[in-house]
Amino acid sequence: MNDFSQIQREALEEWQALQNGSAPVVYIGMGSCGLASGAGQVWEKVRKRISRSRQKVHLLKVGCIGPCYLEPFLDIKKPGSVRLSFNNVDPDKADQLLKGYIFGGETVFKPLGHLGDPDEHINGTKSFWSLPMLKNQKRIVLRNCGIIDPENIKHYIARDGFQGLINAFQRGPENVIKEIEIAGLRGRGGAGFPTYKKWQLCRDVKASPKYLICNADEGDPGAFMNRSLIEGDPFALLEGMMIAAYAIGAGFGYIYIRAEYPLAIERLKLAINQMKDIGLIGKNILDSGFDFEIRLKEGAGAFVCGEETALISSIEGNRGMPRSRPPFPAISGLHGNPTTINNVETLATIPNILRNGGQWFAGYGTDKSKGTKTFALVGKVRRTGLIEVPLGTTLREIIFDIGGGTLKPFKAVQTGGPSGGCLSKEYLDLPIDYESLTAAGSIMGSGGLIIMDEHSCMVDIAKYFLRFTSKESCGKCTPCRIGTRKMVEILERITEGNGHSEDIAILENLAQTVKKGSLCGLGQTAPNPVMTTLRYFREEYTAHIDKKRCPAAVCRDLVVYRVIKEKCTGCERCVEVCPAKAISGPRSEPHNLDPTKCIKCRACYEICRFDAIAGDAIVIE
Amino acid sequence: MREASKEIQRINVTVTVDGRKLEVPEGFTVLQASRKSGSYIPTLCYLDNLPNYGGCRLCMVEIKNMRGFPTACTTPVTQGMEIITKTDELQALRRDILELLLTEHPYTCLVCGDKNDCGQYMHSTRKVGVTTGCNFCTSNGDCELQNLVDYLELTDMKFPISYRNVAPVRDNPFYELDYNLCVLCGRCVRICNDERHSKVLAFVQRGNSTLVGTAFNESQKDAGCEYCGACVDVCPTGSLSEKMGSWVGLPDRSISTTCVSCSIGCEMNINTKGERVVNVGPAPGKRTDPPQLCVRGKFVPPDIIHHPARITSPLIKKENRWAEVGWKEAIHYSASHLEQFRGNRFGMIGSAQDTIENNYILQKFARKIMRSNNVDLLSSYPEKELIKNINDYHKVFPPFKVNDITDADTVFLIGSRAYLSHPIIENKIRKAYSNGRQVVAASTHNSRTTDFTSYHTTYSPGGESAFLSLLLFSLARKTKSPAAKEILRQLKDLEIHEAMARCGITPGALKNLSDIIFHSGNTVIIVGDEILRNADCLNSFNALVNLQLLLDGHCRMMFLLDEGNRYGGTYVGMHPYYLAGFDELDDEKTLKKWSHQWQTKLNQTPGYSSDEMIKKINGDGISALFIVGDIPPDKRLSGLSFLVQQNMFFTETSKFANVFFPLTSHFEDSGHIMNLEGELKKNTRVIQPLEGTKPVWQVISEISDGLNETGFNYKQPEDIFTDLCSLIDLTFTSPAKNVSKVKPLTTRSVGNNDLPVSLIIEPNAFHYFGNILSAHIPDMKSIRDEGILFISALISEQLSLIDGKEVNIITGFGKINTTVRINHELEGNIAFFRPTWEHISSIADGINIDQYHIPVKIEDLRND
Repeated sequence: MNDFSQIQREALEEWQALQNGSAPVVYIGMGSCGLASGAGQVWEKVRKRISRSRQKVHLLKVGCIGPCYLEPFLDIKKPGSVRLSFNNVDPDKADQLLKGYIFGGETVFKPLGHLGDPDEHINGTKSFWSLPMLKNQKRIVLRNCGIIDPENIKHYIARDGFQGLINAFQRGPENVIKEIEIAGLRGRGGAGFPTYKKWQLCRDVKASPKYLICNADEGDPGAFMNRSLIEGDPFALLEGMMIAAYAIGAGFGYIYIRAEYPLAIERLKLAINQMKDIGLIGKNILDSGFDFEIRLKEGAGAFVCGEETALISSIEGNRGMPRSRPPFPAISGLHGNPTTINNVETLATIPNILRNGGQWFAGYGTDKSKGTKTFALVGKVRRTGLIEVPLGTTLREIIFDIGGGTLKPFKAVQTGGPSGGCLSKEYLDLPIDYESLTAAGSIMGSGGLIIMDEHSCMVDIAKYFLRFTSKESCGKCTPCRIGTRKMVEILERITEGNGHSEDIAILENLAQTVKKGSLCGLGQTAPNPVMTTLRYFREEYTAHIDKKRCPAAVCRDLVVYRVIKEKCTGCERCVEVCPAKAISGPRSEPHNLDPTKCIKCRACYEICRFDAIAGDAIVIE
Repeated sequence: MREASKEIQRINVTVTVDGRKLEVPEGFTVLQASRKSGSYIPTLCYLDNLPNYGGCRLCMVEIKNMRGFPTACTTPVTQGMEIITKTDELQALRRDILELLLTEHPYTCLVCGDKNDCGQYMHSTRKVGVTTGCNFCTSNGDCELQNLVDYLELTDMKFPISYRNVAPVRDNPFYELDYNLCVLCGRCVRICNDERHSKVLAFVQRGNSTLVGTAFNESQKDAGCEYCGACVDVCPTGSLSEKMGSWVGLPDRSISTTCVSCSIGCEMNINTKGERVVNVGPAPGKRTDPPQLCVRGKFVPPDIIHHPARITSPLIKKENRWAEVGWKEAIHYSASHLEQFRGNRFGMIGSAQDTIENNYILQKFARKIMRSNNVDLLSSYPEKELIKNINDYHKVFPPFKVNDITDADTVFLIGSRAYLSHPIIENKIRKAYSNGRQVVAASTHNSRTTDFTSYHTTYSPGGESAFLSLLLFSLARKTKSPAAKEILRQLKDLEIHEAMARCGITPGALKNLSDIIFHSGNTVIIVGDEILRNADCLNSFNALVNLQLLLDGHCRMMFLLDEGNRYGGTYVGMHPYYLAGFDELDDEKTLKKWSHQWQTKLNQTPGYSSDEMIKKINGDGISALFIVGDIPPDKRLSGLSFLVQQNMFFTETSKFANVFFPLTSHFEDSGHIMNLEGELKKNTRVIQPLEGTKPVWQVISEISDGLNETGFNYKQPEDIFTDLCSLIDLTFTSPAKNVSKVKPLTTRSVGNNDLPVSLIIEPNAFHYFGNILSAHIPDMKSIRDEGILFISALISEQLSLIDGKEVNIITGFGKINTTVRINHELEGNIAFFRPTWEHISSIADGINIDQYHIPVKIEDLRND
C-alpha cells in the first residue's frame, strides 16, 4: 500500500508539473476519429516544429473529447494560462497556432473554447464545456477522455485513478455488490439487466475458477462508444474489471475486442503492461490478497460474437455460435465455469461508483434507469460525436440541443443499432430510459443513435438493417437464418417496385416468427427495424407497394429525375458531374435531362442542392 | 466425483406436462420429461446421444414463469415446472418455422395434396424435376421432414424455394453429400466432432450461406475423414446417403448381427429388402441405435455381398483348365483326392473371421479324418503360445468391456494402432480423453491418436521389451512391496544403458511415464499390435503382466487381437498345438477325452502354423492344403500336390488350386464369434446364401460323407454349437490357475547396416476372409493410400526423395516398387507402408510378416 501511495504522489507531481509547469503543453486528439480526420499529419508537423524550435514543449496525445465533427482537435496550454481548444486543425493551421501561441507571433485563430472553469469567460473565450453540444452533457464515464494521455498510467492515477479499487478492497466483495445495487447500475450493453444481480448470481455459485469477460465486440453499424472510451481512457475499463472480478471472485479476466479496433487494442495492451509494472495486475494486488490476470482476445469480425454465449464459444476457440440458455454463463460459461460478462461502459462506470458512492450515481437519471449513458450521435445531424447524458434525457434534447438538429426536416431516429427500432418525431419527447424505449418498440441497445431526415427512406433503412443481421446470422437457428433472409427478399421486392398488397401482412407475421422463434438476441431483435418502421411509417410501405413511389426519393427503381425548368439557372454544374452525360443544355438556360440515359446516381441532385442560387432545381419523383 | 454425480441423478423433481404430474430425474430436459409423460413434441435437430443443439426451433414449448418459448431439448427441468407442449400458437409457430426450413429444401412434393397417391398413380403432371422431387429422393419414406409436414399439417407454402444449387460432393467411394437437401440440423457436424471426434465436418460460412463442409473446402479425405459413416446414419433427409443401396428403396427387414472385421465384434444392423442388403446402420426411423460402426462395418458388407465377381459354382482344374462343375462332382473329386494325403502331409488354413462353428468343424476334419495337426488361422502371431498366454491371463483377470474404457481414470496405450485396426476402441480412447480422462501412450510414431493423449512418448521399433523392462524397473523402484522386490530381483541383470539405447527412450521420458502410471488411479492398459505382432511378444507380455501385478488391483489389460474371431477360432482348436478349449496334445487325459468323443485315435505330433505350412511345402513336408478364404499368393503353393480353396472370389492364390468351392459371406451363414471381451457374439443369417454358394460347415460335412466318415452329421451350425458346448466351456466364469511368472527379459537385436530403415507395416485389417478389400472395392486403395511408402523427413533428406518419387523397398526376401510420400508424424529412420497380399508375397518369407516392422533399404530408382 505504501508503494502505491508513493506512486500516487509521483503521479500527482507529474500531473501538477504539466498543469502549472513552466513549459507549454500541446494536446492533440488522437482517437480513431481524430486520426481519420488527419490528426496523424498534425502530430508529425507539430512534433517537427517543436524539435526544431529547441524550446521545451510537452506534446501529448489524448483521446476523443466528444464533438467528432470538429476533429482534429489541438489544445494548447501556456504556462499561467488555461488550456485552449482549437478545432478542425490541419498541419498548416497547427503550424500557425504554434507560431502564434507558443513561439511568439500573431494570433490568427480564435479558440473554440477553454478547458478551465466551465462558468468563466477567459479573455473573451467561452468555456469549451459551455458549447451547445457539451452544455447539457454529464461526463462521468468519459471524464478522462480527451483530458489525459491514455498511454500514461500516471495521468490516470493523478485523477483519482484506482481509488475505486482501493475503496473496493477496503469494503469487501459483498459491500461492493451492495454499492452497485444502491447505484442502480444496469447493463450498458443494451438489455439493461441489473449489474449487481448478475454479479451476485455468479458470486453465489460455488465453483472455481470463475471468469470475468469484458464484451468489447462493438459491432452495431454507427456505434463507437466503446472504442472511443477505450482509446481515451483504457485504465477506467481495467479498473472496473478488477473491481468486478474482485466482487464475483474471479481471478481471470478476458477482454473480447474486435480486431477492427487496432488502436484500442494497442492502448489496452500498453495499459495492461503499465499496470503489471506497478503490480496492479498479478498476485496479491495492493496487499489485498486478490490475484488477477487479464488477457485480450481479438474477435474475427462476426457480429454475433457480441452475444454472450457466442462470445464464450469464440474465446474457447470454437465457431462463434450462440447456445441456448439456461444454463446461464453465471452458472456455466467459459470452459463450463461461472462467468460474468459485462459491457465496456458498464465496467468503466464501476470505478466512478466506488469512488463517489452509489447514492451519488443514483442521483442522475430516472427512477428505474439511473446514472448516465454514452451515445454515438450520428446520421443526418449537424453535430455528430460521442456524448454522455443522464438517462431520462429526451430524444429532442439530444437531437436538437446537443446534436443541433438536422439540415432537412427530422424524420426518425434509430436507437439500439440493427436490433433497435426507428422512432418517429412523435416520440421526440420520449425520455431515454430502458422501459420507455422498449415500450415504444425499440431498445436502448449499446448506444448508437442514428438520426434520419426527410431524405431517408424508411423501407430502405429497414432493408439495410435486415440485410446486415441476415448476413451476420450465424446460421444455427431456422427463424434467424431463413426468416431474416425471407424478410430481406420481401423488402427488396418492395423497394424494387414489385411489392404485393399482402406483403405487409406476410412481413408482420414473419417478424413475429423470427422474434418469438430465434435462439439468441440477434434473431429475436432482428425484426425490430421492420416492426417499428411498419408501426410508425406504414404509409411509406404502402406508397412503395401501391403507388410504386419512394417518398424519400431513395429507392432507385421508384425514382425519376427531372429538371424543374422554373428553378434552373443553367449553371451547368450538374452537366459537369453527370457521369452518363444525361444532362445537357446551353449555359444560363434551363437544362434538359434525358431519363433514358440517366443512371439515377443522384450526383446532379446532390450538387444542385448545395447551389444557393438554384435551390432544389432538380427534383425526384 | 463420479459417485457424486450418480447421486445427483437419483434426485427426482416433479413437473407437470400438459396437466399431468410426473416425477423425472434431475438433469432431464423438458423434452425427455415430455416424452416420458407421453406428450409428443416435434424435433429435427435433436437426437439421442448427441449434445443438445436447439437449432431447428421446432421443439419450442410454453413453460410457466419463463419468458418466450424455450426449446424443450435444451431446457433442463426444475422442481414444479409447468410445461405446455401443444397450443394453437405453438403449432402455428412451429408450422411457420417448418415452412421457413423447407424453403431451403425442395418442398413441392412434400406439400402436394396428391403426395400420398402420386408414387402409385403419377396422376398429376409432374411439377418438379425428377431429382428434386420427394418420390425420387433416396430417403423417401424415411425422411423426418415428411413426418414433420404431416404432423404440423403444412399444406401451403408462402415463399419460393431458395435452391442452393451446389454440386453434390462425390469425392469418396462410399457416400454422397448433396447439400441442396441439407436443412442444417447440425447432426452430422455434432456426431463427427463430439461423438466420433473425427473433426472433419463443420459449419462453413455464415448467414444465408451457412453450409456444412470441411475446413478450407478440403476433400473429405484431406480433412481427415475416417469414413465411419456416422454422418450418413444421422442425417434426417437425403442429404447424406450411401452410394451403394441408395436406390434400392426402403428396407423391409432389419436384422442384427455381429461384425467380424476386428476383434471388437460390434453389433451391426443389416437393413435388407428381399434378399438385397440395402445398407448397414440403424433401422429406418432410428438414427443412432445401434451405435455407429467404422468404415469396414458400415460400408463394406453390401459391396462384398452383392459383388458381381462372386463365384457361384464349384470349379475343378483338369489338365490346367478350369471347369465349372456341379457340387456333387466337386465334393466327390475333392474327397477322392484328399484321401491320398492323410497324415502330416495335409494342412488346413482357416480364416480368423470365420465362426467358431466353422473353425471347429475344420480342425475336427483335419484331426479326425485327415489325421493331421497342421491346422491354423491365417497369419497368426509370431509366437504360437501368445493367444494361450492371453487366455491364461483372462482366466484370472476376466476381460473388461470395451465400453468401460471411458470410465477408467487413466488409459495407457502401448504400441496401439487402434485408429487403424480397432476404430471403435480408438473412438472410446478419444471419448475418454475428451471427458477429461488421462490418456497416456507409447508407440513407435505419432499418429492421430497423439492428439488425444495427455502424454505421448516414442520408442524405436524392436525396442518394445526393452522399453517395458525399463518401465517395469522404474515402477518397481517406487515401492517396497514383495512384488516389487521380486521384479527387481529378476531384473538385476538388466543393462539400463543398453536397454535405453535399444528402445531409444530418454531418462526424462521414462521418469515422466512411470510417474504418471504410478500415480494414476483405475488404469486400463490397451496393448496393441506393436507389442503383439512382434517376435519378442512373450517377453513383452510377461513384462506387462508383472506391471499389472505391481500396480496391484487398479489396473487391467486389453489385448487388441486382430480380426473378428482369432480368439474364438483358436479357442475351438484351430491351433497347431492345442485342441478345443486349449487342451494340450501331449496331455494323456485330454487326449483320451477327445479320442473318445471323436471315436478316433488322435495324432500327437504338434502341427505347423500357417506360415510354416507354406515354408514346408515339398515332397515329404506339406503336399495338400485346404484353405478357407484367401491368403497371400506365395509361389511355393505351386509345389503342392493338391490344393482346395473355398472362397468368395477367384484370386491370385486360386490359380494354384485344384478345386475351388464358392463360399457364402458370413451374412449368409450363422454361428458365433468370440471377441476380445471373451464374449460369445451371435452371427445371424441375414439373407439366404447366394445361389451356388455353401458355408464351410456344409462343404466339410459333405466331403466327410464322401470319405464315408462319421461324426459330421451336421444339418445346421446350431448342431455344431450344441456339440461344442457339451465339450468345452465357452465362458470366463471360472478363474483358473495363476498367471505364469515372469522370466528374465531378453531383447532381440534389431538394426542392420545393410537394411537401415524400419518399415512399419500396417496391421492389414482391411480384408474380408483374407480377401484384400481394395482388390474388390477399387476406391478403397486411394482412400487408404495403399502401396504408398510414407517416409520420415530424415529419410527424405538422406536420400533426397520428394513426394511421388519412385523407389524400391528392398528386404531380405525381395523388393517392391512403389512411390514415396513424406509424413511428418514419422521421425528418425522410420517408414510406413500399407501392403496388399501381393506385396507381402514379394517381401516376406512365408505368408506372414511376423514383425510389425521389418528392416528394409530404400533405393532411389534414379540410381538404377
